[in-house]
Amino acid sequence: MVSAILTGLLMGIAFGAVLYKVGAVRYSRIMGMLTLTDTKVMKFAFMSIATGCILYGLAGVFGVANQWGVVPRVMPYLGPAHIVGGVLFGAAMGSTGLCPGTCVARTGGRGGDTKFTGLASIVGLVLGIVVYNASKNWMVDAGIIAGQQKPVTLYGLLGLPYEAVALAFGGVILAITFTVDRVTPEKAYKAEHERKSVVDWVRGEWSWAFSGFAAGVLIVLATAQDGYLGFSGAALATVGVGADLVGAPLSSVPVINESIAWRAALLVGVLPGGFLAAKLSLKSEAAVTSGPVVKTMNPKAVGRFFVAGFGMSLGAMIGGGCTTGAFLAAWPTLSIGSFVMAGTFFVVSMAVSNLRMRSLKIFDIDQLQLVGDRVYD
Amino acid sequence: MKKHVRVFLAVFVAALALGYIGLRSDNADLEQKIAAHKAKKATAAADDSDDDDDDDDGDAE
Repeated sequence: MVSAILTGLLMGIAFGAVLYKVGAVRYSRIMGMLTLTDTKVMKFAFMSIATGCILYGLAGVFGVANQWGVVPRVMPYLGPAHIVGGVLFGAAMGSTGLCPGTCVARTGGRGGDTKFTGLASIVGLVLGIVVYNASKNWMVDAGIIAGQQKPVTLYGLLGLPYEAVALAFGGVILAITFTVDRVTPEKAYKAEHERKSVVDWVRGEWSWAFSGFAAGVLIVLATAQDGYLGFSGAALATVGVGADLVGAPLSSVPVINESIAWRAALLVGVLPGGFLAAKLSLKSEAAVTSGPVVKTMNPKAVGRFFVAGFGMSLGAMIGGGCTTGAFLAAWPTLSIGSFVMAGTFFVVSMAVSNLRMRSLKIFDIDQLQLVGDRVYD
Repeated sequence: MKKHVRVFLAVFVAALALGYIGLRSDNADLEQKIAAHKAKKATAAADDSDDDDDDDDGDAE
């Protein structure tokens, strides 16, 4: 149990640091991705998926997948639950730019210029889990969540071996990534001083290529530990452990075993991961020039982050995963359910972010980036 | 494209090539599955073509 907690914690710290260092915790970067004005985080995600596909595929080709424990775990196909969950999750992501993992890493890194938004999103996240746990049976009875969950995969549909399809899919994703890099913009935030040494490069914002590779390696390493790098499942495990500790175990997490402990530690580790990455990082030139960030209280923003935290965890639980669990870690497994879930939440989050910013007349990505540069958001 | 990104691209392309060689070398099971997949596609295409012919006949009538 102790080793499961320690390895989960280390994985969480590492992944939280990657999310922070690539800028996936920044509102300006996520809104940039959803409006196609700054595609760094999109390239990071695609690179991570390509890395996962190639590593799992090569392990299979050379016959070491079983020996090393890197046989991908396939997310089951949940039918309409992917659409219902994807819409909920996408709406939350489109309004705040967060997902379960980044909301914890952002809270750890203390980015932004508003007080209590990170805390509000985490409280919302916990509430979403509690509501899911209480309504799961009803949703199964109502046909929203499939009672009989089957792992439907692309390679299964094609009747081909996993390794062949994973390598081909990895190649396609890689080609898309480098094409996106060639044809779309990426915002560069200038560091407080020119980066010369290796230490400077490590302390500055990391490139999408390196971060995506690191995230892909961590996803495969998680599989090798008999775990799964997904934060909605990790949030469920964390709330389950908390509920068990206060003597009111959740029906969705009836027993606390090593797997649950690993997942809970994974999410908990993201918090110090984001914190350490922020503490050890170079500041931006704009942040140094403008001085220390004075955080203000904005009740509307706190309310929005709370509702978004609630919506994203409930949506992820219904639809079978979040941006990490149903996209970064799931697409390399070639699960059809993850294609439907991630496809739905990306379409919805793009629509919501564009409509929200245009209707509120705040569609000004340059302004977002100016503020984001100053306050790391 | 930045220099380190080119390095990543080169490494990934090499890894894919390695995977391809590994897949196609002495892998009878894979060859069998690919052949079955191709046969299945050909059968489906032939069925579609038959359906189209039927439609054409219907239109002609």
